Amino acid sequence: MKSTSLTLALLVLAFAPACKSKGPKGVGFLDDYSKLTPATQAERKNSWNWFKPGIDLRKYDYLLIDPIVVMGAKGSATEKLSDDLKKRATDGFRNVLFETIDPYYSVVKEPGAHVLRVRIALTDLTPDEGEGEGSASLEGELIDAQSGEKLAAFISTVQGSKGGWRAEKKWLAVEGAFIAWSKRLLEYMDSFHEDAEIEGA
Amino acid sequence: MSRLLAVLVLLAAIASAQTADEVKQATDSVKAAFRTKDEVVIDKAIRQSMKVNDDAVSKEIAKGLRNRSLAVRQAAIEALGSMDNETALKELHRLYFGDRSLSKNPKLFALLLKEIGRHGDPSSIKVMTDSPFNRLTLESGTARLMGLGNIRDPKSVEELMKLSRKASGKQRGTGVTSQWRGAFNQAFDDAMFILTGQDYGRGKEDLEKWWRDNRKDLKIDAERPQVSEEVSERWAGYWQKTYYKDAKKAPPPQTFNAPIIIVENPTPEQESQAVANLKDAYKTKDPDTIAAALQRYGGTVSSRVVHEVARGLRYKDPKVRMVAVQTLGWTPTKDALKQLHRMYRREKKLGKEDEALFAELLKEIGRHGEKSSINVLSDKPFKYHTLASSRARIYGLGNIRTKDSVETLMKGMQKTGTGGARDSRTFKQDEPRAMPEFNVALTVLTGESMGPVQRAWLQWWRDSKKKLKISPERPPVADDIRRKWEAYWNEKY
Repeated sequence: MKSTSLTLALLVLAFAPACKSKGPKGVGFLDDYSKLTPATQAERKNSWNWFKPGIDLRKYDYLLIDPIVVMGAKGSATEKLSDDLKKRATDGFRNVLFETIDPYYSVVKEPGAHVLRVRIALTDLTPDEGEGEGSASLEGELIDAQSGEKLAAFISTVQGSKGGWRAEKKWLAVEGAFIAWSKRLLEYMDSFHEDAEIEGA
Repeated sequence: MSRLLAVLVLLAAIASAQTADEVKQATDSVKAAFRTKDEVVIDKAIRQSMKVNDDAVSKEIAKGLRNRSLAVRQAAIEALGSMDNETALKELHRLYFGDRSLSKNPKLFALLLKEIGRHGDPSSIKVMTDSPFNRLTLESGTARLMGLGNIRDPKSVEELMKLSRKASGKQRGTGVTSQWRGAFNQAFDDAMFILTGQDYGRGKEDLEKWWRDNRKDLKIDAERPQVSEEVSERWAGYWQKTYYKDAKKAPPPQTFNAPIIIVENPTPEQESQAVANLKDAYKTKDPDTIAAALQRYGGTVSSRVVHEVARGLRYKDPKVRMVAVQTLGWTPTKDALKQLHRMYRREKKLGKEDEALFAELLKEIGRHGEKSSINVLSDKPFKYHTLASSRARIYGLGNIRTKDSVETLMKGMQKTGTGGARDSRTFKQDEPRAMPEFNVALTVLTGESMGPVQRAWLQWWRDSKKKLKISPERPPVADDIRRKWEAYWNEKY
């Protein structure tokens, strides 16, 4: 068994009792928040995830990215953002995601064999009003596009990232979050190959 | 009849008398030059006199081998290397064994080795193999290997094999950088090919097998064999003379053979058959069977087939991995390229673990000529830097027809180091080592002919970058550029 997935499975089990009834409070984009456990990486505060035990993404060559949506909590500033801003955010994220992923995985429009479906909702978009407090949050899941089986779910917040360079100054942190998430997805998919058993060994 | 004989004898006597005059004139001129103690005068006299190929002249020039002036010693070594007589070679041998302090000047030491090797005499084998790792430099190592390759004797092959084994056991702790190893590997391959006329295959095991099968009956022809244009050009570039004794003899015609069978627009049956055959081959776990299946069916242009071929990238056996990389390089689909990009991304230590596969991976990424590969080809170019990986990056960028590639190449050209210090006599700074490759890549991209001269390309870039447009089709280029391009890619320009 792959060591990454084994570790992830053990981590899920280890955290399961504590989080079973609680889980994070989501905006309703995901069906089930109860399985989510806090991310293990110290720098990923306010981030939660769940991975199907034994998950192995090596077989996926393609990504199907569902239209990204903005879904802020009821009454939140994000929910009240103008449609134009929401569209700019989702388009911007999609572009960053595409540019990061496309050299390595083809982004396709139809489900099929070896296609991994990605569903994402931006749940918080906080501009930087001069105090370095800009941040962004999302909820998302990875699904086998052919069978519909859920493979992973996650909630993530990235705060004060300086990665952006194309957006207006106050949205730089949000764009930085888009870049960080895109890289994380790529790195996550790579991680399955790094520990993979070598064929023919 | 007797009258004809008399005429011939007279003619021979005249010729001999002229030669004797020339010899006297040449030796006198060198003697007189030494008396002046002016290195420019001596240098000129040596270079003029070396045209008279005679033992007496060589003897006189040899006095320059121990001159205080570095320039005179260099001129004397070069002259004796070019003179085809016994004294010239003996004097060079005497210098090598008699003046051990010479190795403290690495450039002169390497030059001496090179000029001894130029004679191609079996008596020089002992020089070429004498403490080869002592004060090793890129130039001295190359000189020993190329020198052995120029001595057409079975003993040279035997010594090359010994050197190869010693080198593989000595890679650590000798200061041999990966870039040197790349250059040495190429010099070794060229030397073996030129001596034997045979391609012994790829990898150390193949070489050892070839040696076991052939060492007993190995014969070396007196004449150099026909070799690929790339090899003969490298040889000619190193020795500064034509490879073939008969200059009119044409090199073998360039043939282009894709290493795989490419099936574009396959029928659903062909696609399914290819997938099934590849799966069956993997089940055998036999590397030769898998490699053969990859070559036979892996070039079927289909995403399902690409997925199966990509399994070979993760295979344990290096041969399977190499063939899988080549198969995905030659398969004209973006899916195949993405698999190669992913391999580059996930195998971060590949350059350390398998230099040849790493260079091949870069080459096959470049073969696709896709803009998305610019970041990969320009990623940390000095990490795991070898001759082959550097060439793969440069030629690969040359194959991506965008202005960004030109810009990336120009930046890379400025970052690469020069071939060495300033020349002690001409004070000219050497060009970057990879300048010939940069020149080919930039010429193919732009259609400009600046030659392998860094300053000329930089000036051109300053003048042209704003209005530069890269045509989608490769422009017409000079024959030598086209031949180099075709030899590298094994594809028609």
